[in-house]
Amino acid sequence: MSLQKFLLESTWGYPIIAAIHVLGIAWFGGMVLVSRFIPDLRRLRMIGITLLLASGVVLFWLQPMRYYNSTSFRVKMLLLVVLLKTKPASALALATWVAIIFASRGIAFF
Amino acid sequence: MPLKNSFLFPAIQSIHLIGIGLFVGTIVLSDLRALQLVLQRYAITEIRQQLAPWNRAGLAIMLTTGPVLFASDVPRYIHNPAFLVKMALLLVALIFGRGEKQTKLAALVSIALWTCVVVGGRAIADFDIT
Repeated sequence: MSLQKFLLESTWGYPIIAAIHVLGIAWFGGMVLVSRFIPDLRRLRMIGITLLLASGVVLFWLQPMRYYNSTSFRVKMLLLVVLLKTKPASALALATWVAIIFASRGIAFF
Repeated sequence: MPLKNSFLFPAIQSIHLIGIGLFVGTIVLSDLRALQLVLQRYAITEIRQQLAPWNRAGLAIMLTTGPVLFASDVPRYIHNPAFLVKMALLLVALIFGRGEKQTKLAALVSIALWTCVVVGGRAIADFDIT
């Protein structure tokens, strides 16, 4: 059985990957907050981004057409580029992170 | 239109997720510092002090969005095994986190508990009994 089939058909495969994605959100959000008072957290942010990108790639690969066809997903990807180019300690970074969360939830709808 | 069918429901879910970021994020960050894996140059008391307002903001968000989401569709949630497990683990995690976590083992248990709460919450959508 391929890994893809296994993850899609197992009870816990998909929820665990999705939960890693959510924990990555908590991690990255925490880093954006902490950047406001602690400088030079690049290494820690990289850990968060790696968690998010790795789990995100797996989630995409499991249902590529669903995400490819989603406008909300494309908006989310654009916002992600914005976030990665924003100064971490800024209000804009926090606002973009919040917007990404709303865009993520919107994938289920459009 | 009932809340569970309106666009407000996913909006409140998103705020719930932001609350997770703030609440669980600050807890896990503090625990990782207790395990001396991150931010070792900074005193643990200083980190906790700086994170405290964000932790409280996150908790406030969870305590409002959680009950609102639950109340929007009580039959769905009380029959959902993932939700029931999540709430049990949440209770344990909150009680466990009340005192000052003194040992590295406590920090590890805290991270494990909150990870399970997050997994349980995410699993709700996969365990709906229709």
